[in-house]
Amino acid sequence: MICAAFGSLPRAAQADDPPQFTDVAGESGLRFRHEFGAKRVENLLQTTGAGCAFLDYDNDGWLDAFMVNGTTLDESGAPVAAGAKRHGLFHNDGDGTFSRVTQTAGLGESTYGQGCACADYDGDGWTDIYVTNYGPNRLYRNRGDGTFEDVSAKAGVADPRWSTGAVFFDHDGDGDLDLFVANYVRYRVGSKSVHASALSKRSGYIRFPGPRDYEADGDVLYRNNGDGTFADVTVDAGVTARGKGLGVIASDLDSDGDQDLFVANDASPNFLYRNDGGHFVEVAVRAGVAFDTEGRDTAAMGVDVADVDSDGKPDIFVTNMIGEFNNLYRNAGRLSFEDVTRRTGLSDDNYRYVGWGTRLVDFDNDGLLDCFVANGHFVDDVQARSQSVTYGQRNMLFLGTEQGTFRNVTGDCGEHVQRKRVGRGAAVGDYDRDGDLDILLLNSGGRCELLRNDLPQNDRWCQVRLRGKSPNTQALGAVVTITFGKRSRRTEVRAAGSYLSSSDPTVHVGLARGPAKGTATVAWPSGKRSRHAVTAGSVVVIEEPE
Amino acid sequence: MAIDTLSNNTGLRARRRRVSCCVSMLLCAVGIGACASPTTGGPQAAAIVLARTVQVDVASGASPHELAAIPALDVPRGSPREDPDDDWGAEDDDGSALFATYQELVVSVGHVSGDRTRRNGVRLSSRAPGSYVGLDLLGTFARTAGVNREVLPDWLPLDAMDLHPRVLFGPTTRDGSFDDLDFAPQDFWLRFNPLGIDRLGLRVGQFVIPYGDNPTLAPRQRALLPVEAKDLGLKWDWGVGVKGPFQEFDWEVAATLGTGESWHSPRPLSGSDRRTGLITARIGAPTYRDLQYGLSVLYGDLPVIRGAELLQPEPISRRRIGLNARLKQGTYVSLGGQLTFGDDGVRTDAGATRDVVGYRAWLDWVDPAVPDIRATLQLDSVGRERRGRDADDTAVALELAYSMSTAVTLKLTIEHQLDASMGDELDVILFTLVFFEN
Repeated sequence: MICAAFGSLPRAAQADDPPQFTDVAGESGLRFRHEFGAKRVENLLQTTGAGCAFLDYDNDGWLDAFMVNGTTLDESGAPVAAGAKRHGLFHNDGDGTFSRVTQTAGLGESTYGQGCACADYDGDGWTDIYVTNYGPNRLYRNRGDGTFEDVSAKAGVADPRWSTGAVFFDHDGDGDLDLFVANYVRYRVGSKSVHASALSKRSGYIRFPGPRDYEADGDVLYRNNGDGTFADVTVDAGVTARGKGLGVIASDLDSDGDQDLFVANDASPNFLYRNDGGHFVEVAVRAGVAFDTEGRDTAAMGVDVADVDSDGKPDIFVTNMIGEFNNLYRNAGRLSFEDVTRRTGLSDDNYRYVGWGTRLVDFDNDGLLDCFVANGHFVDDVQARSQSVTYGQRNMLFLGTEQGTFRNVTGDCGEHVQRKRVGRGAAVGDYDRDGDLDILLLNSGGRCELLRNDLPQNDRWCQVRLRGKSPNTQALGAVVTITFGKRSRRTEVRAAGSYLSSSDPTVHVGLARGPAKGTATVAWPSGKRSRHAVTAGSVVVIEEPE
Repeated sequence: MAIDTLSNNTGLRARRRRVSCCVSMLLCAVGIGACASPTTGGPQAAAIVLARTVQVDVASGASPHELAAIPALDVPRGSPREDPDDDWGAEDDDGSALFATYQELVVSVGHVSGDRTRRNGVRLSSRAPGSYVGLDLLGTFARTAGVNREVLPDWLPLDAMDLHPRVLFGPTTRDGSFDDLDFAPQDFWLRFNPLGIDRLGLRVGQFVIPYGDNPTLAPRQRALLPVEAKDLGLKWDWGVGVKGPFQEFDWEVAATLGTGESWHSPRPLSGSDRRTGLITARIGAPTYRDLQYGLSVLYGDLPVIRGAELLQPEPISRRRIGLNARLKQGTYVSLGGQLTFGDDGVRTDAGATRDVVGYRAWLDWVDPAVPDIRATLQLDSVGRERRGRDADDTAVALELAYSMSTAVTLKLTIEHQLDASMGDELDVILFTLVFFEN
């Protein structure tokens, strides 16, 4: 029966046609508007926007959406109760629509949210949500009945600083998920003690101080105690460097079997923490990922990791500020990276954009990784000052080519990709289960967008979802190698990344033309390895072997 | 070997579970079973889903209920229409509709030494930037703004505006005499976006002409100005300009009145000798690039202007070609240079022309240790052939700026003139306070 069904499907999308995207947020019920707390951008806090997530919080097989929101703060930095805004949790009803369930799910508290990390930290099989805030962070434990409880204080992860990116990952190899949280700068609402420097004014911050005017804050690493609580092991683990952290990602960058950390720092050198058995050593400068090709620290915002050149080693892509191009750091092995942005064409036209959320995935199912970047400026009146730059900016989509380069197809993917928005967070997942990847976008101070990928129906894809043994039930950190014919794609299982966002950890690979049968090899975080037959055009759920 | 063994073992399990999943999928396909959504629930929804969803194949060790069979939670949900959190609001339309007003006060006092015709002493300076009170009204317009919906045609939406009127006070003439208050905007324009084409703009009003240095932001509040300020006496002019993309470059063309910042007796349509006009054009790398360079041309009849001051109303015919480049070197250093060539034709000299050569080099540095301090060093020169001899204006200047607060910047400018075409070489010290706040 299965074979017959496959036979009735079109075999492949047209390889040369860029995928078309349609924003269906409004019609699907994903009616969320981000709030940064003022009519105009008045301070640095109001520039950073927020992240978003695709997650399946109720395990019904359909991706739900979580949108992080800001709200209005009073002079002390506390949320103003009147008219307070909430985050948005939207249940995927499985018919192309969403229903807002924020309040009923117990997520109705107002905080000045920044980012989110979604993972099953307690190993009960239900995806939990960690929200980073300006102010104490929140850990919402999924009770498994469609509701969440705030366990931040009990778990010991309510960092009160200005937190941004966060990632659950197993830093010490003990099987459970630990938590790394990046903090941005030391900023206090209403404080006049910091002003815009000459440097910031030269960069366009003429109304309020910019990131270079504030002192960097330290990040924090929490070790999962396995009993629902965490311990701050920042110092013991060596994660003590201070940067202005935004996007974070965990990946086995040196292929030694443990998870390393990359922190995209704004206006300060990026961090690459090499994991040496649970202790970290910061090696970004030596690895060549701290700066851009001119040796400058960039305004790094978003980050993604993927094996762009199919050499088996994960490469790093970082989104940056206007006047800087985004950086693709090719992993040359032994934690040595080379900036290949210009060579690969990913620098095309992005000088004039401020890049935030980003993902390197295969949007057109041709077997090659593509690159999406959400753009948006941070100075709301820049459009009237500059003759070249706008506040709302178009997103960018680059399609991978067989030559190992990227082709800018932004103008050919439909008007909804091209229209100008103040982009920030971006998450990716196949929310409608049609075999292609859709994009969830959070726009600062504006409506969210759900860019449905309208790729012609085809079977040139394969999705692999892992079910790990508790406590790492999503097998975060596993490596899945999917092979069809001569082409293999190595993908790490992760959720956190992009800009303060969390994507579906299901592995998706495009297959191009070729055989319908392939194999998936899984290197589990526990050290086990398994190999499985997979079929094109299918979602494969693989359970961790005993 | 271990992998193979595992693979064989799991392969058996996979076949068993495929069967289980197949059953589940078949039930779904006919609208029976638990895969229907409980909210929209029912066979129709399931059928739609299956039409867009390809097969689910559960391989080795998979839980067959994972994707289809597990019933979704019966979570109470509100209808979006009744949702109190629904603040979807109006279409964002670029997220760009806003108005902003800035207040501005610039006070510049100077001490000039070496001028035998004037008393020494500290007084308000007539040099750029001068002393003035200004307002800066910025506006950006959404496509759905009233003016675009109801007034303007669809193909010419208003995109942005910058109205920056200034009233200069103190001496506005070179001899230091008080010359009334002078209305001299620096930017007073509306920008349209013809046909909605990305990066295409049409400006009407007063704006920085597309000739010479192409600054990221208009060079306001500055004592150190591009060559054209010294050469032509203007950087802003009234008229119409179009800017657009050419591959990775920007081009811009403008037709302006040649009246400069102020409104110097414009007679663009008269047949008198005082008719002025200017055509300028530029092509080059966009301002947001690290290395920016451009080629520009200028042609027209201009009076002799120095900022807001009209020195000679009779226009002189001017032709120029300009080359400029600027490099952002790291975070703290920028440097750049300009070259300009051309000639001036004097109408009263029966078509005679005189060559003009100008150049400028500058270095801009922000102290990494104290980023409130910014220093700019500039060397600029304009040489004019005059009755068989050269008449040059050449100066070297250093400007130190200190950002005292977000709104206030203090500047100290020291200029030493190496050559002066009119009068003695002077040494000038300017102290400027800039207040600019929203």
